[in-house]
Order: sequence, then structure tokens, then C-alpha cells
Amino acid sequence: MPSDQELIIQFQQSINKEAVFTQLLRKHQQKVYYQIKRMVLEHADADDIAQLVWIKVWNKLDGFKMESEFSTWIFRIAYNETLNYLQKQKKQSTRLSNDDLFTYENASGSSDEPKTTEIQIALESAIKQLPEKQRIVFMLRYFDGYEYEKIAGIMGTTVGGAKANFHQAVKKIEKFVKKL
Amino acid sequence: MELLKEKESLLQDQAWVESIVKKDHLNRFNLTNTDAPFNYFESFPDQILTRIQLENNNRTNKSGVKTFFINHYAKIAVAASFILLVAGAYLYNNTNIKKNTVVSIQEIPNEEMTNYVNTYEAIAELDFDLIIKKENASLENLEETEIQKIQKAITH
Repeated sequence: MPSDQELIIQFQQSINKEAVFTQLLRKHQQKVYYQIKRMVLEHADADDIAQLVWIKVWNKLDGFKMESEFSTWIFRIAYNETLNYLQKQKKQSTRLSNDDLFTYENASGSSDEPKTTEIQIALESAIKQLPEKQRIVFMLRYFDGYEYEKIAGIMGTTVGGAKANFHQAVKKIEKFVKKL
Repeated sequence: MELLKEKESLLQDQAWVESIVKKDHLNRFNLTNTDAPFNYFESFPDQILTRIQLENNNRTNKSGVKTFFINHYAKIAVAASFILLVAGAYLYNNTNIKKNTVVSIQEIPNEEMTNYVNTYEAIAELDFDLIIKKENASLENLEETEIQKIQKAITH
């Protein structure tokens, strides 16, 4: 399987761009989609944003100078598009609604030992209530195992900033889960 | 060395999180948020390519309209600038000639002027005498009736 760099060079030189682009798309589409979905949580939204991201990639790939990794570049586009989309839609889908909190608190108060489902709900609530930046850093660091440098590249921040966001995210999750 | 450090740092971070929430719960959370409808990724590339083609078509249509307007206005602009250029050159030349004439008369020294007048005055007088002589000759040939007509015209 050709590397990203080889595919990009082929794309930039090729007449049959669509075939090369499809290879890149198939290679990265899942990671891009999941990154977006973790932020918006709904498939319909994630699908819309993923489409916008790949169209942007198509339009800008000719000018891509390979100064950063392709995956960092595309995740950064995905991150920015997601933030734009959320701002446009004025959706608070990533925030925990008052109803959710009420349900969670009632459920946790019903017995002495928290059940697995309760912990699961609490964890989801805790992650959902994190600010977008902290949540995405947490996801990229814990679940994807990315280096802070790459996370900083995706988010357009410093390594120190990324570390601070991860630290704050874990602290907030800890505080939330300890209530159980 | 750096890679090892980074890996250690990553493991530390993950261990910190797992000390707060069980790994099992974290994995379940990850699974629920990393699912997609059946066959979604199979059809997604075709969906994107169709959309790209549509956008490209729209763009070429739009750019066609733009080109028409650009061409239309460009023609008018070229014609207008050509007219301005010609008119400007004409006006510039005319004013320059006038200026030059005025300046050249002013700049002629008095000596040259008097020389010119003296030289051409003599020639002019000679020409004048010749004309008078010719006219006299022709007057002599005139008939009386014609002379009377001329006299009447002069007296009136």
C-alpha cells in the first residue's frame, strides 16, 4: 500500500485525481469520522462534517506542502470544521443537559454501590460535559494514543497547552466520577 | 530515546485515567462512540466524489458567467482607455505646440526681430510697388462705365 506522501505526490501530478483521492479517502475516512463523531455524538452531524472535511481536502490537496503529516493536517481540518459546525448550529449537543444530570443524580442515589451502567452513564456524562478542547485532547491522547506534539498540531495550540487540557479533563472526570 | 520517553509519558497518562475509571468502562464508551451505520464507509467515497463533481460543475458554470461579464466589461474598458489615450495625446500635443509658439516668440532676441522686419520690409515694399503698377496698368484698360461704377462704390 503506498504511503500518504506517495499518494499526495501522485494526486498533485496526476490527471486521474479521483482514483488517487479515493485511496487516501478509504485509508483515513474512519479515523476522521470517529474524531468528528466523538465531538458531535450524532451520526447525521458527523456525516455532514465529514463530507465538508473531505471536500476541503480535495480543494486544498494540490497546495499541501507536506510540512506536517497528512493525518495531522486532515485532523486539523476536521477539528476546525467541527468547531465551525457547532458554532453555526448553536448546538449544545456536547454539553450535558439539565435533564441528563437529574437522571444521573437520581440513579446514583438509589443504592450504596454504583452499578456498571451507572458508572458508564457517569463516565459518558463526565466526558460529554467537558469543554470541546479538553474533550478532544482527552480522546486523542487516551483512546488514540497520540503524542502531545501531534495533538498540538491538530488543534493549533502548543504542546504545553495540549498537556494542560488533558490534565484538566482528567481532573474534571475524576471529580465527576468521585461523586458516585 | 525521545520515542521511549513519549511512550512512557503516554502509558503514564493512560494509567492515570484508568486509576480513576476502569479500562472496561472506558473501552465501552469508546465503542459506543466509534460506530457507524452499516456499510457507511463503503458508500462514503462515492458520495464524496459525486459531491465533488457537482461542486466542480457548479464552479465551472459560475466561472463561465463570470468570464462572460469580465470579457464584456474588458472590451468596454479597452475601448474607453484607447479613446482616452488618443484624446489625451491629441490634447497634449496641441497645448505643447501653442506653448512652444508663445515661448519661441518671447525668446527671440530684439536684434533678430529688427533684422527680420528690415529684411522683409524691403521685399514687401517691392512686392507692393509691383502690384500697384499692375493695377494701374489694368485701370488704364478699363472702360469709362466701369470706372464710374467703381467710383460710385467708393463714394458710397
